[in-house]
Amino acid sequence: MVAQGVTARAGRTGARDESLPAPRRDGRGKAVPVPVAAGDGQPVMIPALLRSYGDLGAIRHDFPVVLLQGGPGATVAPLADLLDGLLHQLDPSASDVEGLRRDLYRLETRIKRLADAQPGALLSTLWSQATAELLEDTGSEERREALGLELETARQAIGRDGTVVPCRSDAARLLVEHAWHRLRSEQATRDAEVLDDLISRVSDVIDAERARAPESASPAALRASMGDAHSGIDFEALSELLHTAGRHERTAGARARRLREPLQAIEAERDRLLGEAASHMAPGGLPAVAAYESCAAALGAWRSEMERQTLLLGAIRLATLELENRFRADRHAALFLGPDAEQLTPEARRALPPLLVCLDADRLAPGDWSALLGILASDMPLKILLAVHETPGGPLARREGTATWPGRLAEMAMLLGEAFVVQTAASHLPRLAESVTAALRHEGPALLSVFVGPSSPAAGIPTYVHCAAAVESRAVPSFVYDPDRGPDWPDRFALVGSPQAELAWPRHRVAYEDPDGGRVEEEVAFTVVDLLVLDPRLRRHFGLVPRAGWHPRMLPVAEYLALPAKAAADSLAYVYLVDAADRLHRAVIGRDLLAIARSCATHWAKLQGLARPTTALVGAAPPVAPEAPSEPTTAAPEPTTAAPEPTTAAPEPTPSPDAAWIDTALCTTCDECTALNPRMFAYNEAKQAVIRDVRAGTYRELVEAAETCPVCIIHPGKPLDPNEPGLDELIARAASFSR
Amino acid sequence: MTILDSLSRLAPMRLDLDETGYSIGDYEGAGTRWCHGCGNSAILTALQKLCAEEQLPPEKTVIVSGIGCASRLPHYMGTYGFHGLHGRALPTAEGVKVRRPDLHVFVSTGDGDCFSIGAAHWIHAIRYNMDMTVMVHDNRIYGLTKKQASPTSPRGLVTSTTPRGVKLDPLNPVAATLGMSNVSFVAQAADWLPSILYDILHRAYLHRGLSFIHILQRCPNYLDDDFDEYIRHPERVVLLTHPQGIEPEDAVARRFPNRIEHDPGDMAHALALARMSDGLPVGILYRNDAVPCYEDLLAPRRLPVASRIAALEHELDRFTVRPDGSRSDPPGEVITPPARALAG
Amino acid sequence: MARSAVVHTAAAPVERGAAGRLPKVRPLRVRDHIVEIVSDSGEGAQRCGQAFASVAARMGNDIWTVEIIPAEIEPPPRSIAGASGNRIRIGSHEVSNGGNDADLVVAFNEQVLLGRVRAGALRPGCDILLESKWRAHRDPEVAAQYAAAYEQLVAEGYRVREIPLEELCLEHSSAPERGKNMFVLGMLCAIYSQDLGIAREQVAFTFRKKSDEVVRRNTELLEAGYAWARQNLDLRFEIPAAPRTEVQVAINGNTALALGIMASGMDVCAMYPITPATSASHYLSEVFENVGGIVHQAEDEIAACAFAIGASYAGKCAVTITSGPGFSLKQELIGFAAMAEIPLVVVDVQRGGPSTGQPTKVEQGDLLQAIFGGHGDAPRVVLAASTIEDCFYLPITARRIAETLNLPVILLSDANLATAQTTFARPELRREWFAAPPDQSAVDAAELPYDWERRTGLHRRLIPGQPGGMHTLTGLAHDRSSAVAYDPDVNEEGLRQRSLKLVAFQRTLLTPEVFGEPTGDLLVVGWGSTRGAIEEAVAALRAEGHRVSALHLTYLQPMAPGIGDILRRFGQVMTVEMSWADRLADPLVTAENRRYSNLAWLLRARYLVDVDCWSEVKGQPLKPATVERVIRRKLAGR
Repeated sequence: MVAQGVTARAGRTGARDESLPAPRRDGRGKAVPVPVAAGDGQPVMIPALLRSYGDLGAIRHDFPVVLLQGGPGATVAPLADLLDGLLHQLDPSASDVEGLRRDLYRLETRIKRLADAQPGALLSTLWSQATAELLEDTGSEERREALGLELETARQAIGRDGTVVPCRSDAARLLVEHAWHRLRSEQATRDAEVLDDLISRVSDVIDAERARAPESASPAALRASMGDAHSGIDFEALSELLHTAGRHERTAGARARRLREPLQAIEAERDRLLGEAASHMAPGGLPAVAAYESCAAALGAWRSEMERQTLLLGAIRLATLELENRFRADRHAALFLGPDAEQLTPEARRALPPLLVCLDADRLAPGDWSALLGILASDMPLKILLAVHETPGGPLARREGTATWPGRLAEMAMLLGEAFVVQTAASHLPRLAESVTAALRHEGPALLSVFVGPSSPAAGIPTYVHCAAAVESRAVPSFVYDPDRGPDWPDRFALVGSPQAELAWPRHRVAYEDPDGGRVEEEVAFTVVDLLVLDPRLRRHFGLVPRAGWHPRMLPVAEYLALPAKAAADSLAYVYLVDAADRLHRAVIGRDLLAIARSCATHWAKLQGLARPTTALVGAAPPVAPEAPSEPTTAAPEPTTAAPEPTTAAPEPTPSPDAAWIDTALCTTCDECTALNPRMFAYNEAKQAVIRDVRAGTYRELVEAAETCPVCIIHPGKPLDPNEPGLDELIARAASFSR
Repeated sequence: MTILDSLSRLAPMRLDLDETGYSIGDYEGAGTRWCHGCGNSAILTALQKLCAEEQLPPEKTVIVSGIGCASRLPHYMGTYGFHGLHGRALPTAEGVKVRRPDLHVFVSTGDGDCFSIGAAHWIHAIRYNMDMTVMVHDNRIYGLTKKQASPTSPRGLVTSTTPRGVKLDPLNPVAATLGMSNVSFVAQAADWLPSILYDILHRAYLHRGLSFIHILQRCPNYLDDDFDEYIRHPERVVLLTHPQGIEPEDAVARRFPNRIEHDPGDMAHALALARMSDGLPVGILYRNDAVPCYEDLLAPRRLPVASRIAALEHELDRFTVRPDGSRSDPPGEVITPPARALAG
Repeated sequence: MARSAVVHTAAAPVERGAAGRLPKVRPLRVRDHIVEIVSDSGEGAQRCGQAFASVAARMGNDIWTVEIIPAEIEPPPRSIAGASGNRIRIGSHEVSNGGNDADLVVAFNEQVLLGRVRAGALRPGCDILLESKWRAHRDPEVAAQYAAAYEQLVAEGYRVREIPLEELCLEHSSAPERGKNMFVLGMLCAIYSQDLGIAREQVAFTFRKKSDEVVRRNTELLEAGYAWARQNLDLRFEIPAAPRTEVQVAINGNTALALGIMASGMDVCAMYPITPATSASHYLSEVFENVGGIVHQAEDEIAACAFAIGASYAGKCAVTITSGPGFSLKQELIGFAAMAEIPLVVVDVQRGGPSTGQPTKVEQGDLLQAIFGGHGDAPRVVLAASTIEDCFYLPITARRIAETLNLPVILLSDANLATAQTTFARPELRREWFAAPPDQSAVDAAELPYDWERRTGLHRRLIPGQPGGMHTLTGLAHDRSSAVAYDPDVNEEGLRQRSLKLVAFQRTLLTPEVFGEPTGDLLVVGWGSTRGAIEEAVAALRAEGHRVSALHLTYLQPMAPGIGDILRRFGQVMTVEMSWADRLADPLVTAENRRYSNLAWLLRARYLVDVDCWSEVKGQPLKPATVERVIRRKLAGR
């Protein structure tokens, strides 16, 4: 129900059904009113729709995730996915698959529990611990042996290992940093290879130049190069010979000198990149490549990095020019002088190695807000992870009215410039792993605004549930804004991760038993109110209504909000709650909360307007160019074996019979006419014949040209000079060419 | 990504370095010595146009030829040229390409050069499928040596060596080439259809692998009227059109009305066309971009001298005998860098 | 062999089964010994020989092995022509050739043995160890052949010892016919007092690509053979090791060629299979890619040469390897390379000719075509390897010369060097050997592709990739800008300039050293693989006081300065070669109509000295004793 995909699995786990079983009966089956929350802030009531999330350990969902080490492909995978992936490989008809499934799910439950206790532990470690536990609980000896073998085989089948991360407030940062390290080490390795190739080609240029230098013809050099003693050659004499032959230029060496420093710079960078790649791969990444904690720090690092990169690009540029023999001292000598950011085009700047900045919305330094906006509006590839704790209820709880909150920064960022923007909650991050990587790859700034649960969470509500509820309730719409996907909003913007995005609110079924024991089913929307119930500070905005008091003008929040203001005036909005004793209640909702709900709804509607139709939503593919229509042909389709028979097309238009002309497109540049009279006939820029000056020769020449033209494309037309001798005969000869 | 991109962003700079791009004139070499009216001129022009269109750096372009009228072509180009031995253009071009995959290699050869004295190389060049464009100028006669029969001379043709007429049917180069293994691009063109010749040549150049173009070429001196049946009766020419092949411009369509839609991927149909007795198919008969190139399978690698020496020491170890009677320790593996680039 | 011959202590043939151990045999010291191991092909005699040679080499002896190869791949078993195996010469001194007659022969059947006797390979009365299983063969005819051969050999005075090799192997191997070669290796190690430990390592190395089980079984056979020989044979020799300090390599000429090619920095080798050159390409194909190079097997010899020329034209110098018939086919292209001035290295591993001739046998008949082959004047440099060490170093020199002069360089080897194995100091690889990468720098528009320096004909080569250097290279007569020449003077200038390159290069060559005194009664001149035999013979005769010297040429085109003077300092000059020369003994042959062997032609023509020649073209490596005999006759004026 709440988190997409969880419903699907809940069935498979054989965990309890999410739809509500009948409330327990107290003799007469009459609902007894109780306070919304106990004094200790521990909620005794939760939204009916969240009821089955009491014990997350029993439900399979996207946490914990495994930060996969090395290898290609995915960087993170929910533990559940790893196990299911394994099970899917197996032939379902095989007898023992169900047994294995059961064992793996038991193991999964244990691993979750262990992971909560040991942050940062490796899957392999937890796996063996969990296995040990299971084995202890297993009675029979051979069953134990079988189980141990089975689970070990399964572990090897899964193959990949990595840190197991439960859904805590630090999960978002761990996930992003992991993706970051993986990406950077790939990039650094590939860049190092490119530089390596460049280096070897530059070294070749230098060696070639050295070979042309006079020194290479010295007796010593010659002896060294010829397998000396055995060559039977007098190297003094040979050296003298080569020098008299003067094959060795004095100027040699200039290039080598020009290339020396750039080459050193490139080599240094190659080594640095290899080092960086390595430290990224080191568990957690080494301090050298750690993320920055403030915009100021990041910007400082960025400036010095850019100076270095400018120097490097200058070196690469110079080397490339030399390799292509396009170096012109007058124009390029300055290339490798020093860090001059002016040399960098905006594109080049965007393409420089990105930096990662991890910020917490609740602990921003005063300058950070403006710096943040500055970065997002710029073309600097700074990647910002912003951890958000605030929900729409926050200001209300702090008695500051229903003012806006930092979470809205993501939406601002979309309008600032060409930044890549992702907004979601920690619970949905695993599903958005690809978008996160895309954001880090994006050339230019990126903002990852992630709701990681309230800074002071209500006891008993797991962070996962809080985050999932935030997305489900539209309080934190989950979306991706990718400027690389195209020019228009619908191309760029997608409500990735938001459930049932085509609806105002996601809807779910609730079933319960009425006092007479009859089963009642309703479909209820999950609204921002369901989220706010979880905030003990807001309990005063709810009022329980005993069943006796239920009446038709009590409406579920969603329907209430849908009413025109007038009709709403004489209705009440309620939300279904369940108490610790599993009894169902309706709580009516205070005006302020309804205001928040209404603003969330309108806000969400705005976002829907920006996005593509829902079908194209999740993981929308990049726009495809329309296929070019194939030329219509006049030919009927041919049988592939028989020799094809030609068909005839439209008759050709006839040009003016009077003027002399050449069918230039068919000229074969054979020189016949141009040799006959170069003033009359000439070639155009495509080296095909045209009539240059029809008056530059006689009609006779025109006709002769037509006759000698091997492809018969010269058409003499009518004579211009009526007095030219022998015209009659010529006109007769010309006839065959003037169709 | 980062530096790769920075490098690719340097590409546009290259243009700002050539004050102006290359024009057809930049690809002109010595003045042609072909007879007036020779079909070779059309082929030369098409090639020069292609070079200009693709802006091929003249210093990175090599035209390899053998002996014969067609093989004089390199001299008339402003690029590097290799006017080699009779029949040996193809193996020479292969040597050039394997050593320098960075060069654009064209082969200009004739019916005698390619189908007679060089026939063995023709078959194997198709097999190697190295990335080059082969233009066979087929005028069905030996011109340079003054009118002897060639393997493609029509039956009954009277030549200096066949005063009573050629006794055998001519070779069918296109059908033969289509029959060779690894064939990846086969086209037929005619010098008197310059725009089509150009389209085909362009497609051939863009194809990665050996592109074989059989070009019917008029010899005004020794076989003047040989192709007149097609020049005077345009409807006898059959243009093969396809989005994957060529789509002739109207000026041509007007003159050569007969067209067949032919998918160059269809080998059976290509063979049928190659064997067609009535009419002359012109266009791209066959094309398969999936055939691997020899130089991708076997080419010298650029290795630092240090690692070459290391590898050689490793070899010497296998044969080394030490005075104390011991063999050298079992040699370890030789490490060679991954970079697989061309070796000059 | 003659000088190191030893009188055997007359030992009674062994009665096997008689009370076990023999009295301890004192090993006999010899300076030099020749062992042959022969069998039907496929019985492993070759492998046994190779292994034995390596063991000896590692014991510090100098060695020279010669492969004994039947003409066919699968000759019928037990046929006289089918002898397959190895001749190993072991010495305390430097061994430079296969020597004369064998001192000890191990034969797996009597027929191949007879083959060697007929070939005159055995020293009269030498020791023979013969597989005796044939005596009781179920086919009476085979048994009879064996008995007859045995009688004959004994009658001829050979000391034949019959040994039931397979029977003895049966205790250690289920397939004794396959394992007995290692048993024999063991016997030989015992006979020549070789270290069994080193032999064990050798076996391990020989079978390094096989399973441990294989290695174990063969080691067991080795040890068995060693023990058996110790107990049952009265043969025991000791060949003191030459004191040596530097590290050596033990390889044959073709392997050396391949290594030299790789060390020269060339990285394209185009070839077409032909004997005896191919084994070099086999090895090259195996390892060339490790050093960044490739072997291209072309569709024919001509294509191989064209391919190499194309590769050279576009970059570093390339090489093509062939033998006589293929070399003839390449001549037109070699002429082209000379005309267009493209560097190229052509290796010709000579074999018997003309035509198909004797593919597996040695001859020196290609010298004249190497220098003059092809039409017109096509100057090229011709070098000949005279030792296996040369086979390694000369490709490096050849590549360098080719790129310095921009012309084809032909490197001659032959079937003898190709298959013979010996040891020489392990080369110390130098980075300077590796060809510099091609120059891709822009050239001045004024620079011409054939800007010949007038006196030397040298010029800078312009290759694709160099802006401003664009030109069309051609095999037609051309001028300095590579434009086709229509002017007769231009043609002559080209010929002059190309020829001057050889003239200029000749002046940089060192006068070769005379082996022996710089003056004397007779100078024996040779080239190529005959060096070892000639110098060994000359040394022997000089030891007897004869005034004879030898001169061996590495550069045959051009020839080093000062050779004429050397020839004139001797009373008589004769070449000793392995290419055909008319025999004056033939009734119709006169000094006037006589056709001389290759080198003799050249010396007579160039130096106007009456150079005589003696040649042998039996396809067998030249024996020192033969040369000795020839020289004696010459000195005696017969």
